[in-house]
Parts: sequence; structure tokens; C-alpha cells
Amino acid sequence: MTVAIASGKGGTGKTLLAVNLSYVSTGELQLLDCDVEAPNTHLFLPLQNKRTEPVHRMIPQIDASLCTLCGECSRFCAFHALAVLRNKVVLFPELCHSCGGCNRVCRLGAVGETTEPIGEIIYAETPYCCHVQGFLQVGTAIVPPLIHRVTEYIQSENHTIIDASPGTGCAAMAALSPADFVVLAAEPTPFGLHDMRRLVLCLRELNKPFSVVVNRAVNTNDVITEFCRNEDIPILARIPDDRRITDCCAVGEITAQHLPEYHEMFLGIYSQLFGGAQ
Amino acid sequence: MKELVILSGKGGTGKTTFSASLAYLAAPAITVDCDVNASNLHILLPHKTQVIEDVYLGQESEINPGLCTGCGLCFEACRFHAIQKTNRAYYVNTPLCEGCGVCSLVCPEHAVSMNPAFGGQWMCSETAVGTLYHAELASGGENSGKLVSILRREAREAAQKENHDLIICDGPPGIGCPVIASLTGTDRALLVTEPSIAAVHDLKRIIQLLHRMSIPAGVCINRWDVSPKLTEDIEQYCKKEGIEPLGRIRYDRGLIDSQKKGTTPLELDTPAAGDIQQAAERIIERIYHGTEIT
Repeated sequence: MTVAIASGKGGTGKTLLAVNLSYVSTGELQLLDCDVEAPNTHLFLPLQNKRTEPVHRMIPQIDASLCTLCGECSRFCAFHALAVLRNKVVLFPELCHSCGGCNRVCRLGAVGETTEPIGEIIYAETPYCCHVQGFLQVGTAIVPPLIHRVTEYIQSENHTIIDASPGTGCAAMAALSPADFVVLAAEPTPFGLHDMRRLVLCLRELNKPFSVVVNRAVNTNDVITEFCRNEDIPILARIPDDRRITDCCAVGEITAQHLPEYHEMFLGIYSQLFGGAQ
Repeated sequence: MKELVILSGKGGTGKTTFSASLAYLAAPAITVDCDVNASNLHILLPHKTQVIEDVYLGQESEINPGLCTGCGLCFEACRFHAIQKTNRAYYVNTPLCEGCGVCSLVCPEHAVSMNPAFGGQWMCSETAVGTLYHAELASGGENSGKLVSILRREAREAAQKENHDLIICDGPPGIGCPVIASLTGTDRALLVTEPSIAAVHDLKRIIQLLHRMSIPAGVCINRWDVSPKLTEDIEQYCKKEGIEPLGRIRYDRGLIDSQKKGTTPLELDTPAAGDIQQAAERIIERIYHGTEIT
């Protein structure tokens, strides 16, 4: 069972949920931090036995001695990443999506492939879960290949929690695609509602079952609750607007550990998602 | 003409609240909401939308089930995990399709067609503080960077035509494609952060990106009183990195009223509004009479 934690807006509590659910987990669990542009789960967990895996992606490499400047590769490239000049073919790596099409269309075998680093994955153990985290290399624009590599760590017999990137773009889609179930962390503000609505549309298009956790909840008649009621979306829990939770998050403390009165709430969410003890 | 991009790395630190305040102080200015994944700036700026345009960005593939023999060549060739299998045939999981066309290339039955991909809509709206360019990326949309580039191009053209000297861009979170598209060719960035270890971690990454792209920046610390000690550390760190601290904004749940009322925070009577005003004035001062610390 793989559960992804997503949100439309950033800063609504995805990492808070991911880390606390890991802390209260009752069985074998892996936590995958797929917010590779802004990965944060490691700041809350004591990591042991860290292993680093560099991640590369494929980009074309033109063999000038075989290339006749026919332009097939450049015409095929949907991303305009290859330009044929008078005497050579030039690659713009920041536009390349690593599809491998240029390599396939070149009849002369002049387009080979080489690799380019895009980031790294840090695999570690914690007392609560296995922890796999992607770090995008600063300056890299293309994000999904790194996320796909992180999600390859999923072991389907285990419970897995994915901390996804915010929004509905390609990075979020890559992190949500392997999930059996999605939890939306939503904040009861007009911004929170606007962005959650977009994500709900997206999840329906993907046919992913989902439910909502309201974060910084003040009362039970907020905009998110009303929206969920009208749209028949189950609400798993409400995390209250408690300044002490903000303070815990600020210094990297696990809320369920430092404010034990919240332990039961997170355990309740965990059991609803994964069932009782394994 | 100057272009300022507001960024943070981590989401939810107050970029949009700050962008709206800057637009209010600098009015009339051109504003751009570059967070096309989760655009919110229009909520704080009462507006009348003048132009809505559909955008088609790239293409997406479609498999004709009547022609598909289930050979699986497209499945093997797709590097984006976008081809999926039903009982016997294959279909395209559109949100994962990047539109490269490899599936169509390898299909021996010509069962895969490539169609223009709806990328979303961009809009131009009139607000009390000037013209706002914003967009809604299609759900699951690829190419958010391209949509950002379209918005910025439209805004620059309008600024030139109407003789505006400032464009304010509310940026997306992260450091990937839409952030790079927001920063390319801009004059200056403003970082909005908060004293939490997660925000600091992500701030350091966005600062690295700014250095790589040689873009000068200032920093404002939102909710600074959550940790005065960490605020101090962030400011020290930023100074060392050549980024000037330009203001501190106190923790104030009253700021949420600006979202509920649909106004900029500067129009509210709440303690943090004064902090934002001070910081925003200093930023605008720096934009026009900027001297960089290096």
C-alpha cells in the first residue's frame, strides 16, 4: 500500500504529516521524500547508515564523424533541444527531456547517449522507517526523472508514504502516479481552497482515491470542510491551529513526540490509511 | 524597465502576500503570477479579466484502441512511464505524457497519434494597482516553464508599450523548471523566508541557484518572532552570501483576513501590515537606487 501526501498550495503541512505518520507507524514503513526541489523530511528524522546514490539522466551525444547534418534528429525533437548548424549539431541540454527519440531516428548511428548528473538519492534508516530522499541538483530544470528513480525504491509488500511536491505540475504527477491512495494536506484559507480545488480535479482525472487532512483548522465550518461536504470528499482529520505545532516544525521536532496529546490523532490517521497493526 | 521576482524555495512562506503588497505600494505596476501551478495573486487583487487565451503547449499522444495490437513496443520505448496496459491493449496516461513522440515513432501499426496538448489559459486582468498577468496551468500540465515564459513575455511587451518601469513577478516554490523560467533574464529577486529549519534548508538551495544565474537578491523574514535566534542566523547567512536583509514581519494570523477580504495586507489594520509596508518600501527603494553588497 502506497500513500502519497500531496497539496495544491505549498507549506500546508505535507512534511508535517509525512514525518508524524512515520513516527507513529506500527509496521514496516518506508518514507519517500519526492519533493526533490525542496526536500525536508530528513530535517525531522535521525538518519543512520546513510548511503548516497548519484542519479543521472540520458542526454544525446552526437558523433560528428558519423553525422551528415541531415537534420532528422532536430526535426524529431519535440522540445527543440537540437539545432543543426552549418557544420555541427548543437544540443541545448536544458531543453532536452531525455526521451531518446533522436537516438532512434538517426539512421547513421551518429546520435549516441551519454549521462548527465541531475541529483542524488540518500537512502537511510531511522528508528521509525526506511528513508529515501531525492535531492535535485541546483540548476537542473527537469525534475520527473529523479522522482521516478526515488519511487523505484517502493517495495509493494511494505507500507510506503510519499511526500510529494506541491501543485499539479509534472513533478507532483510523477510523485503521485505510483500511489494507491492520496492524502491532501489543505489549509482552510482562500489560497488553500483555490489550490486544493485544482488538485482535486487532477486526482479525479487520474482516478486516484483521496481524502483530506485539514491543517491549521480553527473550527469545523471552514472553507475546506464546506468544499469537502459539497464534493463528498472524506476528511480524515483536523490538525488544530496550535502555535506549539508551528514551533515544533520550526526547530525540526516531531509533533507527535514532543506534544504527546497529538500522538493519538496521527495514529488515527495512520490506521485509517493502512489499517491497524500489521 | 526593472523586473523583480519573489521566490522562497519552500512553499507557504508568504510570497503572494508580499507580492500583492509590493504591487500596492508601487502602483501602477505590472504584476505577473508565475506560480501557474497554484496561482493565488488574483485573490488579493480585485480584478476584471480582460483577456483569456487558451494555450497549447507541445503535444500528447493517443493510442487508437481499434488499431493497437498490444505488441508493447510503445510501452518499452516510453521513458516517462506514460504508457499503461489494460487487459490486452495499451493506453496513454496523459498526465505523465511529455509529448516526445517516441511511442508514435515505434508503433508498427500507426496506432499512436500526436495531438496538440492543452496547456491551460493565460489571462490579463485589470486591477486597482495595475495590470495583472496570470494563468491556470491545465491539470496535470506539462510545461509550466513555458507558460511562465509566455506570461513574462506578454507582461514585458505591455510594460514597454505602456511605459511602466516595474514588473513584479510572484514566483513558484521550488528550484526547478518554472522557477528557472521565472528567473531567466530578470534583474533582481526577493526571497521571502521564515525561521524554520525547512525554510532555511530550501532558502540555501534557491540562493545557490541565484548565484549560478548571477541574479542579485534581498531577503525578508516572515513570522520572524517564531524564532528570533534563527532569524538572526538567517540574516547573518544571507549577508555572507551577498543578500541584503530588508525586513522582518511578525507572526500575525490577522494577515489571513487579506485573503478572506480579497485585499492586499497593506489595506488591513493588523500589526504585521506595518512591518510589510516598511520592508516593501525598502525593497522598492533598492530596486530604483540599488547598490549591491558583494
